[in-house]
Amino acid sequence: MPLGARPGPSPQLRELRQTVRRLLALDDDTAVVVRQLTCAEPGCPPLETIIAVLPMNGRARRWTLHTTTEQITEDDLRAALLAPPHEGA
Amino acid sequence: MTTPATDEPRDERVPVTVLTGFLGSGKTTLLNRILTEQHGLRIAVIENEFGEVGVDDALVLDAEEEIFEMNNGCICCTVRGDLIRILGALMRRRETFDHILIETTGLADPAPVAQTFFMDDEIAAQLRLDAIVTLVDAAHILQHLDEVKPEGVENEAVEQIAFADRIVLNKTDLADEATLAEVTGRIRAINSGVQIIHAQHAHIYLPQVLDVGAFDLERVLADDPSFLTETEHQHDTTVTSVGIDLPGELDEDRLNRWLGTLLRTKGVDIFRSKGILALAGAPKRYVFQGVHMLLDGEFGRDWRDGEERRNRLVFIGRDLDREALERGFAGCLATAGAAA
Repeated sequence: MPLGARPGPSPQLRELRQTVRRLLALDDDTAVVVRQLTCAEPGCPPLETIIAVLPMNGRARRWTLHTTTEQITEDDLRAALLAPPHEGA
Repeated sequence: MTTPATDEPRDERVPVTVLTGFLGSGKTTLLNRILTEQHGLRIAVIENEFGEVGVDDALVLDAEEEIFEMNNGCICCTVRGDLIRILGALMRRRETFDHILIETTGLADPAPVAQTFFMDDEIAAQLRLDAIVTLVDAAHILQHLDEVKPEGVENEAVEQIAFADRIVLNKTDLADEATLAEVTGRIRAINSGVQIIHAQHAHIYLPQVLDVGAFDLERVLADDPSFLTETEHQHDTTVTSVGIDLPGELDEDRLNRWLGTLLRTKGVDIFRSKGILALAGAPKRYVFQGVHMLLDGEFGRDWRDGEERRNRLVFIGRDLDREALERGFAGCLATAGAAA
């Protein structure tokens, strides 16, 4: 896919979202967004993955994994999501 | 893609119209018209201005504007958290409506609204951004456009015009011919390709703004083949449109390098981008739309036998350097060779 455009829905992305839901025990009303973005920060890897969790009521949370979406494993997610939060919105 | 004249599968996603415009531009009047006219569509409305719309059988949801940064400090990657939550909930009752309309406040920045549809693949799989419709008060828009903002503060009226796919130039009965001509010129200077619909009391033919497929470039170009090439040179405005029309095929690696750098360094200033590209070796046209740094692209229809391979794209944004854009893009041609 040229231009670094948003990839379409994929089984892997769906699986990542489901893993996020399971690890954080989220309800169906909570939105989970997983998006690979180009990082504009000098010195950072060119692609990073953002995971955002937006409950219907309550604070939205966000994590940045400095790797492509394709390379993320369940262990990566567990380490990132279950660590004390550093970011929020 | 929904082009009835072709064999493309029908796009079953729910169309979403975004309605923007300054306070007093007639947004609520248009919204009430959309909700009460007999068009046969069941419309779900998400509104940020409370209590203005009250229609018994319409699904009206209040939302509080919530700007959510997906990426620390990067305004190119802000989305509307309220919309992500509400659209997700709406999708679970998908069978109760045919169309979604999002009404923004008069001062809302259209970028995070549009970016919400470029950010989330689940939303994009079920919903398609149909058009950004901006209401403009013909009698008062010039003073809003001319309003000088403090350093770093955006002029919302300019932004709302820059992002628009359709401008409803409302209250034309309250402006004289000279004013209308000046307003039209100013709108075109910012957003050269936008369709302008004149109206009084927000009275328009609704198919001009609903389900128009403005983000479906194949459909837009089928209706208006010159859509991407009708840009004018404007030197006196900060926010303007730059159109490029270049025959030839593009080298994908060069294109990715150029576009990646461009969006990384100028993404804040590029409000919208759209284009149809001829990638070397690809039998189909590559069609893309972008909002700031976020791009959505896919292969469209096949290049036809004998059809000239050409690339047409438009950038709408602030302080765009036309010459640099043209030069950079020309360097992506597969034939640019050592010159690239």
